[in-house]
Amino acid sequence: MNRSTVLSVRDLHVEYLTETGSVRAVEGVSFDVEPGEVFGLAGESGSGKSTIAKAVLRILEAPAVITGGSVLCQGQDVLDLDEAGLQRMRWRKAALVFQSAMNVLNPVMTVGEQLCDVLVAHRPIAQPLATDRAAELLRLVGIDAHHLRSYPHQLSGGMRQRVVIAMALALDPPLLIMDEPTTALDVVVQREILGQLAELQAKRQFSILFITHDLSLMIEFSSRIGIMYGGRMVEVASAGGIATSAQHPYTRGLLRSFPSLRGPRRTLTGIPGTPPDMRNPPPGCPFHPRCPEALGLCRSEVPELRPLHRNHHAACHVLQ
Amino acid sequence: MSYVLRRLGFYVVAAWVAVTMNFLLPRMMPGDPATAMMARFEGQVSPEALEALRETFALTDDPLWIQYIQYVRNTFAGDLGISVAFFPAPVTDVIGTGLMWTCVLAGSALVISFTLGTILGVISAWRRDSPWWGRMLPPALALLGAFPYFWLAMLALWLFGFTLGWFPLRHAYGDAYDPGWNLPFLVSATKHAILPAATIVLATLGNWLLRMRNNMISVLGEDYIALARAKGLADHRILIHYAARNAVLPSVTGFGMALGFVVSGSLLTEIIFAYPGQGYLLIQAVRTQDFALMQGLFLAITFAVLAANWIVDVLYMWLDPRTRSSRS
Amino acid sequence: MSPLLKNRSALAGLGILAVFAVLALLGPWIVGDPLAFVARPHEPPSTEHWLGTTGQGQDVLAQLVVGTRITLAVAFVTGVLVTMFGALIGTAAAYFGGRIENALSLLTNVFLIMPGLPLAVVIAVYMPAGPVTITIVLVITGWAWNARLLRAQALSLRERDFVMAAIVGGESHLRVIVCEILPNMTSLLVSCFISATIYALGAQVGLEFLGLGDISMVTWGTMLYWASNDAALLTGSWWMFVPTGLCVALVGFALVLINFAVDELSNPRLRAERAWRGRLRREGVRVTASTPVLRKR
Repeated sequence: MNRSTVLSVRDLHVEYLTETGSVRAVEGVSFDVEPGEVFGLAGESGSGKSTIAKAVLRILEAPAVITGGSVLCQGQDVLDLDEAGLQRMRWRKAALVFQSAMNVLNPVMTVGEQLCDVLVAHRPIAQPLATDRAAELLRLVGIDAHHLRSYPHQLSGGMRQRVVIAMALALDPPLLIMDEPTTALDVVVQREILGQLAELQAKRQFSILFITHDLSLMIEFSSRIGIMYGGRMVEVASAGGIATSAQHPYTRGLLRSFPSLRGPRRTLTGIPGTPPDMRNPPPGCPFHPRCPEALGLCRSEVPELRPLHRNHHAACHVLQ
Repeated sequence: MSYVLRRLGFYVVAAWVAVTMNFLLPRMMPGDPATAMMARFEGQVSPEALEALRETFALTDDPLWIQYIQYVRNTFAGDLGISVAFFPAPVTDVIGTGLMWTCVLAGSALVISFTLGTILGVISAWRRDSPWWGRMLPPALALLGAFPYFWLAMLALWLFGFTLGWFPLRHAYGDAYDPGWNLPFLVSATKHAILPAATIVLATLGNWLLRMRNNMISVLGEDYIALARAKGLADHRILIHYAARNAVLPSVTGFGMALGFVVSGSLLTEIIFAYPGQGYLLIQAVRTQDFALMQGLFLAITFAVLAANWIVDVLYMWLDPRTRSSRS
Repeated sequence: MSPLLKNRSALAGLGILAVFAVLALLGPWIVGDPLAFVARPHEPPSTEHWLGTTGQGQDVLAQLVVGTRITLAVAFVTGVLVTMFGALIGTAAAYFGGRIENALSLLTNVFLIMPGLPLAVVIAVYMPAGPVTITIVLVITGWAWNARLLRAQALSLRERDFVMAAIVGGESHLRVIVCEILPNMTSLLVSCFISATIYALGAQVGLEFLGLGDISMVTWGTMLYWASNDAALLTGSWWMFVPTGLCVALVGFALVLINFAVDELSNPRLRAERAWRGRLRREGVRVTASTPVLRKR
């Protein structure tokens, strides 16, 4: 990790405490996000990736508990902050773009009010100035400023998502965390928005932690990718590295599950079996019950994320 | 705008159902209501009362639908018949005397109870952890709400009226005063209203509090609250502008329905305090088998509740922007 | 049923109800004739008459105990009927949709918005006085509330796959409603039944207080009617109405407690939250709006 790392997650553990025991959603996950890069976090639902997104800002709802590790956001450990510190750091150091922008905007407040909200909360700024800045933000994402007076229900899904992105950029954060930002939208709108986002990112040089289950989208959009399974990080490499030379059996299984638009026709194979029950995760490697190459060791010992070659890490006994 | 008009249409239908029920009920009994009344009174009904009754219910020998039209026409002309209990005053006059007092009492008690209950509900949800707000207050208020309103009224009257003598015992104002917009009268009226209103407030408070509390708890689980927190907004801003402003909406829609219950309870409370509102008239009507008055009261109270509901709907339009504009 | 018994709220409620059930079933054999003239009227509680005497010289305790039976019976029967009608109309509306749903919804909303007491009065006066009339009247004025709640739930269930499968598979309408939809609404039905019983108890007492019940019978409501008629307040005879009201409130409260428990049990999120809070408190971690950090390593 170098000085200017925007986000440094080390050995993060998150559990959900329920009546019947705890669900270990995130187990010892570590990764870094460097300035200006797009780091993609991929995995099935239940792999823990959305949990990480919310854990960075500590807005996970009950019954979640963070049980270990550190989350260094531009050098400051979020897990050590008190309420006041959290309120100050949120949105300024890292902003969040949620999935399902349907419910993410307050239905009884106008778009303008919600944009100005965050400006006023973090800086002493006069209302007219805040309104101007809000209009500017809307224009940045291609929305006409008269929509400041619109209510969320008056906007289309794509526009709402753009508003959410504009809101995230309000304080010029070095890090944008995007959790399934385009899943609820149709493909055409998806492309538009991601295109716009790429432009903005190139201009303003913020980093993005991009979370989605759509691996092909992620390969296109990210610079580096981390693959999660059963609450653990199983492979981290550049996007090209994942696409062409994925090493972990799970990642290879994932890639085999999509057809490609170009290239030779091949048979699609999925991954047999089902994701692990996080209440009672299997011992050893979480993937071993479904892994075609599982060894005896895989059943008992959890593999650690180790470098295979430069900038390509994987957690697998078979590869070591 | 169409929202408000649709609601108005619904209220018109409800009003029509009420009028029709008034028309059909006396006819659904075997025999002629007059005969039935005779049976109940064992022949003590005066010929005038019988005539009045016949006229009220348009009990003629015409076919049913003609009687119905006559009845509806009478109702809209303001002719609800002659009262037996206050013979020979017309029912509309009798009801008119009590309507204002009921509106004043029930209205003020409702507004106070709703406002207080809602605010306390917000606090109770936000401070779910504290032993008082989260764990003791809701059951305590549930217990309070389990008492029949009028029983609480009896208790209050006995304790604070008879035993301690802090409040007047009956009526809406002292006999010595002249009704009108003069201060001594208004002061006396307020003093007389305090105990009955307090009873109604206490009995209904728990309901509003629990309702708002539940709304708040479910709203606090919504995505826009999580985002508001992630934005680093101050607690009180999230509580009021993001949570409470959304949580209050179901309470307001539920207000209309709860109105019927509260009005019913307040009628009985009026009886205990001999408060000269619709409740007092109701018990007189029941005691004297004054069908015309009873049915007149039913219509008057129903119409009042419908009107209040419509006012609440207009208010709701202001609170929830989604009802105002059409979707794009 | 067993998790219900472990819940403190439910236990307290059931306990109270059990006491009253015993009173209702066995009481009349233990106490004397509630209508008999036993002592001077308006006598305060004494060792002979634990709750004193009424304005007619009757034993208040005897009346209270004997009245339990009819009062509770009417309340529970009304509760059952109200829930049944509400369920029938609510689920039918949700299931059939279209014009049937619109008509039934309109009917439900009209009955919901009309104030209950005046409506109850105008219906009851045309019928013979007594518990049966009261039951009928309460069902007519009370069914709509449950119908609306149950319709909402049934609507969401109708869209579920297993219901669609049953319909496509050719099951008759009645079978789908009774065998597929209703069983999945049990906790809501139980909650509705309890709410309906609470309503029936209070409304019954109110109607009888007005004099619409059979005033020659002994029920909690008629006791209050006579208390009012015999100037209990004027003579300061608090024993004539205070114990009765307390009993009504106790039964009502017991039902509310059980309802709380049913709500909690059917909402797994609430239970999980409770477990979470408990654990945090034990570890000494303050519960704030942000995700807590509880280091185990």
